Amino acid sequence: MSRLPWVARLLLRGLDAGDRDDAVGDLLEVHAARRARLGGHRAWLASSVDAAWVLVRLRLHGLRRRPPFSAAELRLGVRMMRRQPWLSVTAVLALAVGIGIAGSVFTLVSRVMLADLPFPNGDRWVNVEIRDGRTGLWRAPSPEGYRTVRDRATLLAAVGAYRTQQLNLTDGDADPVAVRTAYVTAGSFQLMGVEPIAGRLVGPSDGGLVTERVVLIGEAVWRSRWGGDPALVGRRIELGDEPHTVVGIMPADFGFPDVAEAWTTMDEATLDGTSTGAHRDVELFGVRAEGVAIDEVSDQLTTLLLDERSTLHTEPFTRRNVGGIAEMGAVVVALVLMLLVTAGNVANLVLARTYARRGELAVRTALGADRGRLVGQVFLEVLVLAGVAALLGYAAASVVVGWLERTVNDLPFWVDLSPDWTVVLFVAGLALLAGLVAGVLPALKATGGRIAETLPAGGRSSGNLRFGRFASAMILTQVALTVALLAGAGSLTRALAGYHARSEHLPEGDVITARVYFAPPDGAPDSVAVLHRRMVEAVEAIPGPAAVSFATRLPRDESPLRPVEVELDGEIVSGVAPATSVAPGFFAALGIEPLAGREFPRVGTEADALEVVVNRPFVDRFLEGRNALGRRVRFPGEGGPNAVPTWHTIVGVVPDLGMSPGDPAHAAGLYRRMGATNYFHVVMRSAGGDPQAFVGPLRDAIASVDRDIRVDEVMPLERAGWESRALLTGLSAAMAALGGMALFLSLMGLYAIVSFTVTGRTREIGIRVALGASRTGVLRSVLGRSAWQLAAGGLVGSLVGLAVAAGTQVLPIRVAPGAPWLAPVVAVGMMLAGLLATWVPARRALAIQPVEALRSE
Amino acid sequence: MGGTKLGELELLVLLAALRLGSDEAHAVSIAEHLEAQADRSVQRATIYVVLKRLEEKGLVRTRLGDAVPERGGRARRLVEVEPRGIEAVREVRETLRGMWAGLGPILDGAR
Repeated sequence: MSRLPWVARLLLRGLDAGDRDDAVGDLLEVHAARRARLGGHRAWLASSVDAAWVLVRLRLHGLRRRPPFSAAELRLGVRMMRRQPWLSVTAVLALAVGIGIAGSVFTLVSRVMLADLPFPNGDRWVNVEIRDGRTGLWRAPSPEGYRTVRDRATLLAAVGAYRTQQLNLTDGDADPVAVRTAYVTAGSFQLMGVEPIAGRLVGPSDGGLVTERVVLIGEAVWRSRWGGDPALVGRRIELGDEPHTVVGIMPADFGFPDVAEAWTTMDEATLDGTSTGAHRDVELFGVRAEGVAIDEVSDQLTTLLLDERSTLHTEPFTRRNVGGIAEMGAVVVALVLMLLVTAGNVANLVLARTYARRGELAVRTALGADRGRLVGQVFLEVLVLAGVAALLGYAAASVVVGWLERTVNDLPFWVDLSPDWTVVLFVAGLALLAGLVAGVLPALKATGGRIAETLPAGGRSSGNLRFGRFASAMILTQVALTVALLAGAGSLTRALAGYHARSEHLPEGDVITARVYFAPPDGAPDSVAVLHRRMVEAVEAIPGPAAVSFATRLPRDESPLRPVEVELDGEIVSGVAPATSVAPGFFAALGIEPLAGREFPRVGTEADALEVVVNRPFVDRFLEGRNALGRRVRFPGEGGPNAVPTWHTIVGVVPDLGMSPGDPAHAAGLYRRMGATNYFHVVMRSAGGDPQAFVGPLRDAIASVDRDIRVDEVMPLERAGWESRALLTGLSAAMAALGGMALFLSLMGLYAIVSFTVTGRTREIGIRVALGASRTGVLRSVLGRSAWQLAAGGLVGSLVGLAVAAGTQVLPIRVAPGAPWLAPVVAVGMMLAGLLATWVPARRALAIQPVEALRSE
Repeated sequence: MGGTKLGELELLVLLAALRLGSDEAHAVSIAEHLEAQADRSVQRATIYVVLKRLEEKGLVRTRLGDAVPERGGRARRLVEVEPRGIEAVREVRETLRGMWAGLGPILDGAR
């Protein structure tokens, strides 16, 4: 006799017993005939498919005859929710927090990273970047590279280029306003399928060598600046000191390439360098030809553009400047896993409740309900809870995402965070998954065994509840997770406090800062130095500011760590310390007097490059608080792995200005004299008026040197480090929320387990007390299991919490590696809270009178 | 005329069961019979569902036969057409006869 394929056997187990015997028997007959007719493999496949079809048809027939649940069972589910409000509220809140957080992150990831441009064939738009083999920096191709790609890249259906810049827009006598302007190759707009709300688009005819430049103005600027005046179209304005004619108004939801507010042509004059505003490099984009993969485009462009030292990177346009999708995907997966752990703990609570109803379930079994029906009932009750949780979680996710959309001003134009069916589907899927874990597993456990044997006990709850390894593992995991999350939240909150702390030494309200950046020009090796010097001279010539200076990092913005060696009484003290470069007069510009010595002189010699200024924490940490002036410092590794580092002399000591706000252990830092660089911050202090007034002249001064130089991140000095603060705020809030939810769930789970244990062992406890057992012994036996679960979970959680705190170094900002005491303190606190949660049922155990206990069932 | 309405496949299954007899009619043989006689390839899963519907309507009755070694020692579930089932088939025959009456020349001469 032939055997059925294992797949068929497995599938047919899904049938009811009666149907299963018939189906298996019939399939055995048929399979034997198939093997003779078709051969082994084909018969195997055909019989497997046959079995699947039998399962599907008979189950569907069963569902039609008898729906999976009735209205009465649904009403019972709602009644069960109301009968045990604490359990229901706990489960709903726990699942809602998990679903809400996972839903929010999913919305952000899918809308920011996975969205396509809202253009025809938007999914085929790509961005191209080159990693320079010489400098290691990512850069955009040169204008010549753009022309090469435009003329010879056959796998791109269209090619364009753009550059963005903040330019001053002037109209008549009104004050200039800075607008984010995009230079775009003429003809690109026709690819986008957008229509202006007034006037016309910029077109290919605007791309030649023209005497009059044209501009499109964004709707937001049009309304705020001109009140929506339709007469703006055709008017001449000045943009970046050049006359432009406004030819159209673009809709508010357009912002190519991301957040632009005005658009003008990148014509041949600016591309080939014959105009005064020639571009040195351009951002290159293309539209893949139909059926062409990104890798194919990348390969072709590599052969067209690169020397052997460089690498090329082609990616979907919407993923430019966004972090790795793999990392964000991993965050979503991690959040879903945390939700499943939460659901597992809800399962513990459901298990306890279901065990308490074994009598009711036994009666239903006796009346003909099969196990599947009972499991379905419990699953339905949990699904009701999960459904409510999903609604709350979805609402919470919508609120969070809506707040983000209103708060973050620089979301790319293609990002639309309004909820749609994908988020609804994701949340519904999470609710279903949570319901399966929290409902089906405990239901299978509670309805297993000989449930009908509970009937002679009068249907009362069984005293033989063994939560077993699953429940213990869930409690242990939950406690560990709680400790780890709360310890992690504590570390991040401590770091956040560092960023929020006001520095008594820094001025407030009268210093404006801006970041200046330009791509290193090809050609003359001293071109960076020339540009830098010209910019410094132009900025220092601005009338009005009381003081102007420059630095590569601002106070309270994290500075990069460098290995240092300090000479102290003939010995070398090694360590790492943050180091930043400042121009002469930087500290004076901030109104800060050195605590000792001096800062860098304005007029310096070559020897001055070997001077450093240190901060107070550096003196305390590396020099034991002694006199620092004249001591020597060097930087191992500087100049190459085999170079001998040069000694630098400490010439001044300044106060702690916050070189590592999130990690006080690295507060000890040094300042070096800033040389020529293509990346620095400008600080401008006013003599009393609003320092914002210097921003326009600053932009003009920089533009007078080179129009391609970016001036951005204009902000008061107090806001330096805001990105790190925002990141820490979000992360610590999320971890605190998750940790709080995990704590609540752990405590409820422990309460439920101990409570049920006491209830189930009332008779036993009464007998033991009657036989002379001490109260301590009774407590020990009741709390024993919970205590080891708490202890084990706390230990595991402490280890994980320490690892998480150390692992927060993977964040783009420095966070103190978590005081070693933080996780154990949280663990002890958790244990105390857990014992408190078990106190109420434990007191019940102690109050049991033997006579009453013996009378009880 | 009243009585139970029969779908086309229900009718074919009843006819096959009647033809095979109560000792031979079961899902596998009914499917083979339909393929051979009516040139209809019907999945066995469909036969199961049809038989359940017929049983619910009271037109057939199923019983377990003897254990068969080829079925791993499992008995066949045999199908026996109830008198109501035979009556339902009879009604369909009368209905069709009435509808066919007078159509002979058309049906025969259409070749």
